[in-house]
Amino acid sequence: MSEFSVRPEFDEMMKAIFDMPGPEETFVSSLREQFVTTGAANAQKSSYTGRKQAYRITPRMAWGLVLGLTLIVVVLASTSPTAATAMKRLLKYIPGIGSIEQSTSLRMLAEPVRVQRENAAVTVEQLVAGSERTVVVYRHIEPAVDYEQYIPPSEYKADRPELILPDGSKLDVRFGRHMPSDGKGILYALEFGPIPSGVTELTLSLTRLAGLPPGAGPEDWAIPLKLKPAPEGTGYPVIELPEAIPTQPSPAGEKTESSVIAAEYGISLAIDKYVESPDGYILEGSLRWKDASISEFGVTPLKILLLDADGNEVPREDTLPDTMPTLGSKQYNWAYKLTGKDFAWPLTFLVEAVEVRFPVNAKFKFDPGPNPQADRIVDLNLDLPAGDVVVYVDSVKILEHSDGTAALEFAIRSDDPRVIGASLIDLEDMSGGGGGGVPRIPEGNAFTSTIYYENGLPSSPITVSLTDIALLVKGPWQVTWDPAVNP
Amino acid sequence: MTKTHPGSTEEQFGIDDSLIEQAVGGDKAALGRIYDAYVNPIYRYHYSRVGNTPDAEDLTSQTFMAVLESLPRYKFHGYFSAWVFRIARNKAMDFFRAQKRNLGEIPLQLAHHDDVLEKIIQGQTCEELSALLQSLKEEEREVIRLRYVAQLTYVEIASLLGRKEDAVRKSLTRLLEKFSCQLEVQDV
Repeated sequence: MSEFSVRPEFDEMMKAIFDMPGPEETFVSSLREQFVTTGAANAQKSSYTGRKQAYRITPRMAWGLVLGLTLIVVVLASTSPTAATAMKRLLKYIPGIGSIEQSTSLRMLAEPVRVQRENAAVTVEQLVAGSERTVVVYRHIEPAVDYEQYIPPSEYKADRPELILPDGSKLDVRFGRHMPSDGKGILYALEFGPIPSGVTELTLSLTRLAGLPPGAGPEDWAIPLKLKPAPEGTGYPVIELPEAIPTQPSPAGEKTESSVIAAEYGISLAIDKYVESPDGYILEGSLRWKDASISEFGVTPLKILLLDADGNEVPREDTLPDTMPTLGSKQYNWAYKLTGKDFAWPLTFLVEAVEVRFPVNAKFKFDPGPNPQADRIVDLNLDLPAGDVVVYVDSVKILEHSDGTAALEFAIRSDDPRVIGASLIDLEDMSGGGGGGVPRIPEGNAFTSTIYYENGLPSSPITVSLTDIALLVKGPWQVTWDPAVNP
Repeated sequence: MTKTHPGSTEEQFGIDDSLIEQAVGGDKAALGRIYDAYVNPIYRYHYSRVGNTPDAEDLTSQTFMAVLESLPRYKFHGYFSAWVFRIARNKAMDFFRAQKRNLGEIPLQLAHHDDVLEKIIQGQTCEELSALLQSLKEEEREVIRLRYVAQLTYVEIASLLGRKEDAVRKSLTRLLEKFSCQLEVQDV
C-alpha cells in the first residue's frame, strides 16, 4: 500500500472543480454511428484481405488476373469513354474548400460578408453547400491575448457554431478546423450538414471566434449570409489515380547499401490524385512505409525535386493536402500547386532522401548547478546506446534569453553516418518542449538537440530522456507523371 | 489472460481482451461499448485543453478514428484506458503544434457552474484558482487533467506517462497539498 494518498473528500472536491461540460447528444450519437459503422466496415475489409491471403496465388495466376483485369478496363474505356470519365470524376475541387461531391444543387455564398465589432472583424469568405455537406470558411484577425495574464471568466457558454435557417431551424456544426494561415489572420473552416434546397438566406451563429478562449473578445456573432446557385462549371474535376505509379528507390538500377535499407523499411512514393484548373495543376501524393517499428508520422522527405523532361526544376507552391494522415496510417502526404501547363512532359517527382525516426528509450542525468552561467559549455562525454546505434553526447551549451526563457543545447554525434538527429526532453519540465535534428540533408554526422525552458533553467539535476533518433535514408524515390498518359 | 484494474474504466464497462477482439472483428455492440465508455471522458479531456466545443468535438472525432485505425495492433495488457488516452494526448499535442501555441500557455479550464465553485473554494475567487493552475508546470496540469477530468486511476496515469504509480500518487499529493494551503480550503 502506498504511503501517499489523497483524502477522498478532497478528491471529490477536485472532481467538482474540473467538471467539464459534456458533449452534446447530437454530436455523441453522430460520432457513435460513424465509429461503429467504420469499425465494422474496416473489419470486413481486413477479413476480405485475410481470405484472399488464405489462398495461394501462383505468379502465373497473378499475372493472368492482372492481364484479365487490364483487358476489361481497356475494353470498357475504349468503348465507353463517358463511363470511364464518370468512374474517375466523382469529386470536384473548389479552391479554399477542397474536394466536394458533385451535385446539381451546388450552392455558394453570393458574396463575402464582413462584420466588425469592437476590435474584432470577421469575414465569411466562402460557403459551399453540397448534397452531403456545407462548408463555411471565415477569417478573423486574432485580438492579442496575453496568456500570462489571461483568466477565464467564471461562467461562460459552450461554443456551438450553428447555421440558422429562415424557419428558425438550426444545423449543428459537425466539426471545425484551422486552415493553413496565409499570414492574414486565422482562417477557420466549419462543416455542417446539407442545407435544404430552396434556402437562399441563413445566419451563421458563432459563440466565439476560433482559437479565442472565453472572454477574450466579442462573442455571440450572428452573420447574415446569402446563397446563390453555383455557376456552371464551378470547381475542377478531381482525377484519382488508384495505386498510382508507386516506386521503390532505384539509383540507376544499382543495388547500393542505401537502396537495400530503404527497401527494408518499405518506403515508396506515389502520386494519388491531381486536379487540373485553367491556370495549372494541383498534385497530391504520399510517401508510404511498411515498417511498424518506425515512429508515428516518422518519415519526412528531406529534399523534393520536381523536374521536367529536360531536367529543369519546375516551380511549385505548397498547398494543403485533401487527405491528412491519421495515427497508424504510415504515410506522409504532400500537395503542390503548379502554375502553367506548358511543361516539357513528363514531370518527375524525385525525393533524394528521407529522415526516418525510430522510438528509443535512453536517459542520462545533467546538473546545471545552482547558478548556471549563460553561454557556458559543459563537457559531458557520454556514450548512449539508442536502439541499434550508439550516440555520443559530447557537451551541452547553456543558453539564457532576455525574455526569461532558457535552453540546453546538446552537441551529439554518432559513428553511424545514418544518424542525423535525436529528440531530447526533460520529462520533469516540458514547458518549452524538446528538439532534435533538422529536416535537411546534413553535412557530417554531428548535430545539436535542444531542450527549451519557458520559465528559466532548472535549478536542480535533471534527467534527460532520448525519445527517438533520426536516420538518414537515401533514395532516390522517383515517380513520373504526364496527365496525357496518366489521365 | 484478461486483467482489469479496480476502479478502472475497463472494469466499469466490462472491457477486456475478448471484447476488444470482438470489436476488431467488427462486432457493432462491442464497438459501441468501447465508444460509450470513452466518449465522455475523451471529450471532457479535450475540452479542458481547448475550452471550446468545435475544437473539442474535432479532437474527439480524430481520437476515435485513430483508435479504430490502431485497434487491430493493440495488445491487451490491462491498460486500455491509458492506451486510448495516449492517442487523445497525441491528438491534442498535434493540435497545439499546428497552432504553433506553446503547451505552457494552454489554460486548464474550470467547471462552468459558478455556484458549484463558490461552494467549494470558500473565500477564494475563480480567478485565484485559475492563476494558481496557470502557475503549474504543464506536466503537473496534465496529471490533474488525467486524474480529475479524464478520471483515470493512478495505475492508468502511471502507465500513460511512463512513470511509477507511487511517483504519480506522490506528485499529485504534493500538488493537492499546495492547493489546500493556497486555497484555504477547510477540512481537507
